[in-house]
Amino acid sequence: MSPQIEEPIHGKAYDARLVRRLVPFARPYSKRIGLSIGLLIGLFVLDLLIPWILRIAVDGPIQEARESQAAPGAWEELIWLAVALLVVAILRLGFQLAQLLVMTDVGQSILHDLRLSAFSHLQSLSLAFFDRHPVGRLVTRVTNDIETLNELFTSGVTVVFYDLVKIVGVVAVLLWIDPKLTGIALLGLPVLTAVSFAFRSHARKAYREIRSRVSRLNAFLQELLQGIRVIQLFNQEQRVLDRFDEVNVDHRRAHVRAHLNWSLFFPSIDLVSMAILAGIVWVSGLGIAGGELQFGVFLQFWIMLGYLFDPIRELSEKYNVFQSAMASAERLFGLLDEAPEISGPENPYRPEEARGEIELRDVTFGYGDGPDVLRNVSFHVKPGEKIAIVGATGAGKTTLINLLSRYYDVRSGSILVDGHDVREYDPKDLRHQIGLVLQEVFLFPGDILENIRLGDTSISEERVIEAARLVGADRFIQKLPDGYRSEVRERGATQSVGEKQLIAFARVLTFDPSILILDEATAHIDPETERLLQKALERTLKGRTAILIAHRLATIRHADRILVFHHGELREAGTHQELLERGGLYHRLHQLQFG
Amino acid sequence: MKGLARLRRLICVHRRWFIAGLLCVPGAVALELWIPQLLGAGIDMVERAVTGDGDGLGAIGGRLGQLFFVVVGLTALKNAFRFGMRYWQNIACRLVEQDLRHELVAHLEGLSASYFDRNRTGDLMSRATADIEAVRMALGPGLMYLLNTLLMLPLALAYLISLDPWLTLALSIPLAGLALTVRFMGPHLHRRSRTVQDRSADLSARAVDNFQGIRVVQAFNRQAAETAAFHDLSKSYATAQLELAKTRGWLQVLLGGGRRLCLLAILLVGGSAVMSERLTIGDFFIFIQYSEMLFFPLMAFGWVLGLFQRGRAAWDRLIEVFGARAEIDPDPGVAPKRDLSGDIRFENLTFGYEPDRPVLRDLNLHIRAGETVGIVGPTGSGKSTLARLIARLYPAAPGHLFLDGRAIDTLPLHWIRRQIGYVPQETFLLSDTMRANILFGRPDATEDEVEWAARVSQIDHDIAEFKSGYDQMIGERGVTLSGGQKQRTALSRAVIRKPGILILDDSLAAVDSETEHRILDELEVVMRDRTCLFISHRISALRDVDRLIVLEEGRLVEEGSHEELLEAGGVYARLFREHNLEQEIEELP
Repeated sequence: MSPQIEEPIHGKAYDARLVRRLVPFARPYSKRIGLSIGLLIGLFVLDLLIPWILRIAVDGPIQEARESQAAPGAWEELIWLAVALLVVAILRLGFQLAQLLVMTDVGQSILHDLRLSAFSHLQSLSLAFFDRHPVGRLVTRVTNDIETLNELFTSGVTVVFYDLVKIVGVVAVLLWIDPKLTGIALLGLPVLTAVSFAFRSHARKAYREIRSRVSRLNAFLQELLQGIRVIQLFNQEQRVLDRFDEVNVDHRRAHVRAHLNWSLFFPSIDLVSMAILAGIVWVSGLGIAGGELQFGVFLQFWIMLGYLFDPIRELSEKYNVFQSAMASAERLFGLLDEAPEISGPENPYRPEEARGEIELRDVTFGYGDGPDVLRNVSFHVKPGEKIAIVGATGAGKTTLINLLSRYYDVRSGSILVDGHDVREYDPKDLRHQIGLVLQEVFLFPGDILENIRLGDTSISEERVIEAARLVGADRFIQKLPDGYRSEVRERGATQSVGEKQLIAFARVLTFDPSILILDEATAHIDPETERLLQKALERTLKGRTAILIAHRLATIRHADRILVFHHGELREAGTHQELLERGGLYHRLHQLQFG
Repeated sequence: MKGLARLRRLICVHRRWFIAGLLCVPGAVALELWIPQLLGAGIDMVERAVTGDGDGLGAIGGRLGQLFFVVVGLTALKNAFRFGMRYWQNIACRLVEQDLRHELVAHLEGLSASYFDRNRTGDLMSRATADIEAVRMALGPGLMYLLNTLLMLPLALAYLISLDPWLTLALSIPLAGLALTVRFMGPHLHRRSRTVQDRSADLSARAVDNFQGIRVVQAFNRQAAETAAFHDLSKSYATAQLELAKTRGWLQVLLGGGRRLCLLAILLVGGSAVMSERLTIGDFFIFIQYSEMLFFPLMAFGWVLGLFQRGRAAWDRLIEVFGARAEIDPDPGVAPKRDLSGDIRFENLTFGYEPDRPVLRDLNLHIRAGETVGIVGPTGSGKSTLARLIARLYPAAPGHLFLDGRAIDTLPLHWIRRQIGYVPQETFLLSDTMRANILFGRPDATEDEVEWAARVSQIDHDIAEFKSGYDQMIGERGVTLSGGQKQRTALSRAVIRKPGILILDDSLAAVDSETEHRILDELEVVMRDRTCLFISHRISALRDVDRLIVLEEGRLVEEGSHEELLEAGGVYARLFREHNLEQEIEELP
């Protein structure tokens, strides 16, 4: 996929409007989300119990035994506390695992739903939308953007319901245990938070730079490897290597700069944390010596402070996660809000029997806000008639196909199929009547059989094979290792242009539409395939109305009538003989051939 | 692991950074181990005050204050070491990464065309990026954390044993369990995350296919079937994610469990030791801190072993590339003193890319210096192969191909390439300015020569229309050139070399026929006393050349002028007729 520039991320870490739109996706799983939150609360309580047990042990049996060796039941008490600790540890293990699994399952299910609704929504959008948006970016919408939301659902929910609760809860419990010590800790915690946020914002900038250097390095390497032949032919190895070195060195420098930030981050956090802990030792030491505090309480305090450091350190990271998740959600909903430009009327015309009559009445069309590509085009095609369309590149031939299948709507005038405006049809019904064989035949991942019947399993395998045999595709398909069940690799990279066109012809025969539109391949085709293609065309044309965009004389010969397009206008129409006699554009074309 | 000499040399070049980074490790480890002991001693001091064995309350206050500043000071020093170790090892291994990549690219540039036919760009890319990265990870963080663990573990254990061997033993069991868990679950985790990546790639590929073919999807009303297919892929991706989360969850849970088992051991064994006064409260506290502290290096140990494994596999793949030798000897003999006059002779030449499948057979052909020759034939007849052999992209068998009377296999590669301007079918342009792309052919050319080359290639008018003229950036960061513009630019960079032999390998296919004709006419004038070889699918464009050569299935079947060959009514005459109509219809004004 080509590297691309992402739209800038907007700054908000929480956008109520977007969250409200995400809620319906989470609703089907509300029970499991509730369960997950319950488990988190349990986890929090269990986490609090562990230092508590240690405190009771130190201040209880351990101290008692030290004061008088004969303290009755001290040993027994210690063992009971150990058992309690074991039970808590095991419970915690179970809770944690259950919570993780439930939350991941919910997260992945929601993402799956989101992905599917984005994808199926895209299926209904019109070609004009796809013209405006590069494929790479759309793929990012259904993959990366949704993946970013994963963070929101899995770690995001955890952070809101756990890390924040944990910070507040732990501070509350600490205050309750010993307000003075808590005061000391609260002096240090804001510093910790500030350090963490300062480094993170730096890190974000550094990462952006790294990303751009990495993509430059990759782009350069790719360019170099793809052009290696040219580099060698022109003896440019050294110069290209010098230029590569610049990119390579820049890449290293960006990494080293970013790493400086990291190298400082953890030591700084560690220093601040340790200062807080050492302060606690100082103050509680005085307290213990003065008899106001117990060792066990100090120990409990010490361990619980540890609970605070991790979430605070990660809070800033989570903030970034939220920011990018919001940006992704915004982009995703932007996509889902995109309304299809082409849709059928509420009560579409339902064709009973397709005849294959086409009429264009004074059609003018242009893409987007662009200039007119077709101007005042009118013609009529009788059912079963074969029309060849001839014209230079840019004459509007492809546009004509797009309009007939109603990928776009005309600017003015109208297009009628079987006497009804194409806008009266449900686009699906309309397209069902039209068989397309395009220059670049598109093969879907899957096997040859599925590529002919296009996933419509109501069509039998026999019928597909029959169609392939009629167009002469059977021969090369049989030669493939698995015949009709051979997988198509990388969009048909292994099939030649001619073979792909034969498959497309077989598709048409299988679906039996009343109209055939052919945009002949311009690529070089060897004479043998050419003969096969002409035969296939003959078969396919039988009993159908056809519009042929012809690049070969052999194909033009199949036509009853030739329409000559020039600069978006219909200039000449007639049979081969008539057009030659008229002495116009077509004639000149013909003359050139023998000139 | 073989071929370590290269790596050793690179490490040696940057040794001062490696040494600086690694020297910081012992300092950091020593302080890391010392600080908890100081705190433990502080607690013992407090306990003695409580039981009345030690100093009074007043003295304690001063001592605790002292302790605070000492601990904070030492922590600052420790973190200075930690910073040094991270920062310098990073510089060190990034420098090795950079040099290694430089050497890899330099090596690749020296390999022959056939190597690049066998090895795909994507594969070579992943060696130059992911594999080198894996080697860096082993050399940098891998080495550093290995040393850290190797120092910290025995020292900490020795100290703990001196305090209480039984508690140390009890503590080692969960700690060892932790190390083993990471060691054995690591690869599992790695596999699972590979699966997730693969599934994600499948998903993206399907989306790309669908969006690119949306027209066909809609034409054949395939939306529901496509969504169903996507649904399945999305589901299996989600399942893979869930599996990964499960493994990760188990790892996390087991690690957390191990941590709590450590606390349990300390409570039970340590608690009873304190009760029987074998240990002080301060020692009890030291055990708690050490168990937390040992946790990370032990976990890192399993991770580091994984790093070394991956680094090793990556290094083996890199060695494979470094081990590849150029098929063509670049310096088989001395370069001629005179420039190439352009005489080309094939004598009984047979050549194929694979041993048993000849593409050219028994070719005998003599092209005289200054001649303009057109090469014609159906696809796969060997036209491009013939051109590639002259440019020595592929090696002809010794003694069958001669340039100016000398066997091509005795000429230095750089000399041949300097003398030949070859414009291949596929155009490759740099994402750089127009001028840089033309100068690519001859970096020392003057501005006048650049403009001249652009004029001959008929790209000068296009350049004049660019906003920044010759300084216009092209490619990703600039204007996108049309196919024809790209080909004309590629031509200009060959023309600017004023080569002894100019070869156009169907390199004007995207240019309209009128322009192609003009270019070829212009070339005949400016290349009057040089040899030109034109290959074109547009046979009509070659009408005016001195001589036409017709190839069919690797054999020379006809030669002569356009008129002669038309009259002969053979292969050429047929091809000419067939292609003409097609061409003219396509290019109707």
